[in-house]
Amino acid sequence: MPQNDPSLREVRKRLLSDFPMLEEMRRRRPFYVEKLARTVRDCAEYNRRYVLPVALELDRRMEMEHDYFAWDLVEAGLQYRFLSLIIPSSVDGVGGLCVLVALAMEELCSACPGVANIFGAHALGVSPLLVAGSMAHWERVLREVVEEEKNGRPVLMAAAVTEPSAGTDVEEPHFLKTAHLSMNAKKVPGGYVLNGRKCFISNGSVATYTALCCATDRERPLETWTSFLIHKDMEGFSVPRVEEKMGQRACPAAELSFEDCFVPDEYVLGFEGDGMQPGTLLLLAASRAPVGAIATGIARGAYEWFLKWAERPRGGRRPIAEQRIQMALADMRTRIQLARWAYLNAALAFDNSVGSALQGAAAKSVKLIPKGIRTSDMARRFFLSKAGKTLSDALVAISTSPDEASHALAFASMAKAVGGDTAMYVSSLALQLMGMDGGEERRWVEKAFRDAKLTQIYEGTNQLNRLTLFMADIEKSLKVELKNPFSMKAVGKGVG
Amino acid sequence: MKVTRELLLDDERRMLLESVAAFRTDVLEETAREMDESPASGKVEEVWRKAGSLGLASALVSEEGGGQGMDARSFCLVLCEMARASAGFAAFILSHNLALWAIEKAGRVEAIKKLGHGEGSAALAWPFRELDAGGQSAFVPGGSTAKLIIFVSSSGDLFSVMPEDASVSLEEISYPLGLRAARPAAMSVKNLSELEASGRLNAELSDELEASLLLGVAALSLGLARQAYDKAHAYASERYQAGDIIINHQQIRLMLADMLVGLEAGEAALKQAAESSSTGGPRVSACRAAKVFAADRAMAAALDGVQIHGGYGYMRDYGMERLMRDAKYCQAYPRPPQEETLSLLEEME
Repeated sequence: MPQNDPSLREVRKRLLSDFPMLEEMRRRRPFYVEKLARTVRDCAEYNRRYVLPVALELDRRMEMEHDYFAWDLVEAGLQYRFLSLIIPSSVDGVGGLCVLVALAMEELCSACPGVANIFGAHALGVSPLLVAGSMAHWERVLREVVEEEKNGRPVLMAAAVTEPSAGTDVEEPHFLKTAHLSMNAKKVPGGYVLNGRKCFISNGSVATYTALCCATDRERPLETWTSFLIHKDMEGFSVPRVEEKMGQRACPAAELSFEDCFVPDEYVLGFEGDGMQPGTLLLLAASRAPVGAIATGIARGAYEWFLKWAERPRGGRRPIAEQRIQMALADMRTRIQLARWAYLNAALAFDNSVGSALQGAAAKSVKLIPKGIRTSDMARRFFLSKAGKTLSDALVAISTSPDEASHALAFASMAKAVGGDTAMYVSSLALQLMGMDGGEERRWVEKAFRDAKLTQIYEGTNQLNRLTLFMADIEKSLKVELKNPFSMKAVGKGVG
Repeated sequence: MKVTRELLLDDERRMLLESVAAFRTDVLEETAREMDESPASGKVEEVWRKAGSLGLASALVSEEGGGQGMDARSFCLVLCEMARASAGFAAFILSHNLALWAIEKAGRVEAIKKLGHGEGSAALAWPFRELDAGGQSAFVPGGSTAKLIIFVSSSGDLFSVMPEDASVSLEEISYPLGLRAARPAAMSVKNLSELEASGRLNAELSDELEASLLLGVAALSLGLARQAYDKAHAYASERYQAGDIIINHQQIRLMLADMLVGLEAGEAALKQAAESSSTGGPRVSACRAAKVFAADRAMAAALDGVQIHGGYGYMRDYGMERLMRDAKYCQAYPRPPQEETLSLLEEME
């Protein structure tokens, strides 16, 4: 465990040496790269001061008491603004995008992915508001997150996509058409009535706001997939269950239940039917690179503890003296570095295309409007109106082409799968080399091994990520037409 | 352990297997989760007494000594069957029975009478690493509850010690990743010479004991892999995703097929090792190879089994994640696979 808080200088140096492309970028955008370095330094400091001293104990406690939630750790993160990392600067957020979140996730996850994922899942919950939320949602919800963060009160968010009988199916347009769905939203005057269940929702039991997607017509889910914003106090909404997970325990995975839950029209994000395309697909393009970073962080944590173990003498010998341990370390280091480059490239691809549109045109146009007017009732009504939503969509569309979005999604899927596999490989190999030796290092690596497995499963299983990669990238370059049922071409609109 | 020569299961073995299968479904499957989550709740001891009433506490003790006199292959079948429900409890059974087998070989018959009926248990501490005057064993299945522990020093001497011996200390491993139902402990011995008079047994069993332990862990691994395959196959046959039940997707089929390759080849290797003979017991190199192979494949099967279950595989109520944790310990216990393979090479050279 590090003795002192890391200095900005050390972190900047490490970041630039790990990512040569950031060194290059620093010449053109020095302030941006400095912001990245500051965020990573904050994460390292937060780990050292708050997470590393308690992570093993917390993990163990939550095995017995799985619905416990470490609010104190979330509160300790507020000073670093971990809840507003991707909230646009127009509503006083940090204004980071995919790259910033990914780098933060790697750093946080090198200590405890469970704790890190509270912030990761929160960012995932913020994303639908960036993609499809109107300015009114930004002004109300995102501003609330930012303001309360300043006041020391965490307002957490979550994103709910998975349903009990549909995991893969709700992350991929083609499969959605034939998915077995349990959630349904029925249009009624003034809003929608939601019924059904969502499951495995990270932060689901602790979030104030949950961005949720579901069909308004289960017979035509793809055409009617719609994003809603749920407030925890809405009548008919409840959390019947918090899962008992193998790892990443600090971040609760909850089942959400809706029984005639009325959601007013103004809580619809974007238009009815836009939930999958662009909604969920942009969300996945944005989130899979950071999930690759989560996995990379887990792998790095396991690697660092394994290295410590290897250096410590046991029975008169140091394991590191053996060639097989040295070569295993070299192999781990290689894979971690490759996973790191994969997620950073994917995050850059997203930020350069879709991301810049989200925080660029739309956000800048909002900044031109004085705050007094932006937050007025009249403006709120306009932004929630059809014309207002169309304007927001158009501003995003101006600088994003479907090709760019599809490319970003392909890279993100690549980074996610390679990251998850790396985390599993490194933690598994480290444990099997350590044998049955006791000691503190072993407990950390065992935790990493349990934590790692989830990164091959959530945000689309690695199997689905490979399929997405094939469809979004490889298939379109083929000279032959495939008659397989998973072709992207079979799905009405393209990505984005 | 005695060497098995029969190729097919005889009636006696079939009956034994049936009774163990009933024990698995009626007792082990009902208690496996509790034994994993709260190993100190007393459940393990309760199940142990039931196992004792089936003769599983004296499986390897000779019939003259009042035991079952099982040969290697029969005992592996028992372990394999039990490991399907709880690899941890099967490891407890393995450790106890090998300890008792060694004690009988060393001629301490009186100790067997007490421990052979499920009242109290014994444990095998392997490997034992000597340090200065004493030594330690990092992971002793059954070590937390054992009344008697067997270990072999680096010079090949067999020791029998009791937890209350002044030179011996046992510390329960309270939060191990896997094999929790084995009630493992870490053992350390301060001074071997203090044990010389009381603890040293007159027997040279080192190779045979190691071979049997490796064979036993191979059997645990295969039971675990079988369970991963069965559960994943059943789940994949019901779970609908991407327009079909997922067993019809090639990605899933390949994972299941790989598990079968491991099971088939692993079972063949185990049988071959159980039947191999050098000086009356199973050949240690064959057991080593079978163990490394079976445990590696069990690890892969458990990981893929969880993967096929998706999010449900990660949740504790489905029992898949326990397979993954237990498999990791089957892989690293008694020694990490690379150390086993390097020993194998030395033996062959």
